[in-house]
Amino acid sequence: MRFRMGLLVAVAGAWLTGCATPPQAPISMAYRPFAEPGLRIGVAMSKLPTVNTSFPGAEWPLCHAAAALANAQLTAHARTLPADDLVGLKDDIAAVLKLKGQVPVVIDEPIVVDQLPKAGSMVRNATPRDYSSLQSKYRLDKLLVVDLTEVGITRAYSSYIPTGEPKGVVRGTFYMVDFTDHSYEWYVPVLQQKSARGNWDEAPAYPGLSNAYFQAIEGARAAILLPLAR
Amino acid sequence: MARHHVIALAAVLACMPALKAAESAQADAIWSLSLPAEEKIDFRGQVNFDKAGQGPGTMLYPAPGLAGFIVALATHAAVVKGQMKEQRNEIQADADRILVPFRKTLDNFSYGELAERAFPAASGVTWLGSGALPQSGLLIASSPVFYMTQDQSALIVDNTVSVFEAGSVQPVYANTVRVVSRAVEVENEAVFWQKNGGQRLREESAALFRASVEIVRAHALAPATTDGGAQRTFHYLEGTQDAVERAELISEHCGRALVRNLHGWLMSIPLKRGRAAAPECTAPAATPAL
Repeated sequence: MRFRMGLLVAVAGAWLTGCATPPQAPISMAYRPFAEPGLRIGVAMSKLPTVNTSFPGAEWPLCHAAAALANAQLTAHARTLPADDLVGLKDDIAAVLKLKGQVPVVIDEPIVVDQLPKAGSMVRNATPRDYSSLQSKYRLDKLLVVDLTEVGITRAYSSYIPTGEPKGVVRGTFYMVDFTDHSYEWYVPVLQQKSARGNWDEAPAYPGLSNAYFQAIEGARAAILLPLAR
Repeated sequence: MARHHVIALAAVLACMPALKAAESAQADAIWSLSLPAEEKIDFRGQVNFDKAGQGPGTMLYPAPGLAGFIVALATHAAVVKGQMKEQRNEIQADADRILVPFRKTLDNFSYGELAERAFPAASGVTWLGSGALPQSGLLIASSPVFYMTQDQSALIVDNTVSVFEAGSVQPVYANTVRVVSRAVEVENEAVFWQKNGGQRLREESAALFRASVEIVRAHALAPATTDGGAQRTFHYLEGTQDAVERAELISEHCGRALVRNLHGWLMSIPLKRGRAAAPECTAPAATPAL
């Protein structure tokens, strides 16, 4: 009986861990990645998420409802915050690439990474999705992708109780795909969280927290623009 | 080198348009100044709470019944609140450690000395001490808080002010003015500030304080603007670090911008050096006190 139970646990463990895809580890930008001039580099962005609030740690329905209710005014304000500086990020990246002697190709439409076909490449740091359609459509040598998953204000919870003050947040990943072997040439997870200076609880305009939100946006912009410009 | 820096700082502050505006617009007004009653100036290390908080977690409340659940919830809230407060105090205490080399100077740097250095007898602003009321003109009740950046290269003042007309207890103007100095470019910042008994620390604090008061003088009686200018994100320097503020531009001159932030505070900030400075920006200051 004990043996059977142990076997069951072992099989379940192997099955569950086998299903989990290990997260892509960060990849530093190669030394002088733009040494060769005139490369056609696509600049794409996934659809910008709606500016909103999030309450990690309050995932259970009742906890989430309580957190949402307690922060309703903050959420209403967060949804009014502009994200123009992120909308224009592709053009700013293109300007930096141009200064580096490359040929940036700004891809206007947002890309949906999850809808791209799965890639089967076994090379090191291979991309899990196949970006060949973009490569052929825009005649690209490389593709730089900005994939933001969270923009707004976040407040950590432990069930019903907030464990910190709200912060401006921008979360996502930046990566560059090298089409010679369809691998990541650069991969950077980005999480910018900025606190308000002084008191955050200044409804209805939340000026301190709003400023922190704009600081998080600038932090995310710097995280991609500075390494590219280096 | 160090002397040149002080002169350059004074020149930069003297170039601020707010100061010129103050001289022209309020030339005939009589201004007086009051400062907090405390002896020592409020001086802190610049602090950043970006890493404050405990992150998300999960808590089960194994308490019997609704009453037990409410008690467990209240206990959890009290514990977390206490931990958050303690953490913030620790972060502030850590930030204040950069002031250790200057403690002796700061312990005998009084508001009286600050006022005398910032506004000598012929400056047109009379220091009344704490809580005094002027017989005529305008009173600026000022509560400055000074910060040193963590790299010790720059000072910041947050001057919270209320402006009263003589005989009135209702302020005609209330705001906070932040002035950020440009970073000193020296080998050892602590030695630089501490030289001659902390002379430079006192001088620069007074220069920042004076600049903040002059901004108040220029804006306190100015007609309120109803149409807010376009908000944009400003990058400036706090010491050698890039800092960001969402604000509306009021004026820009000699590598500094005067902006109104989302709180409505007025901020005089050093912009990153770009194009070459105009000749009037590099000229020695006419008023050495700045």
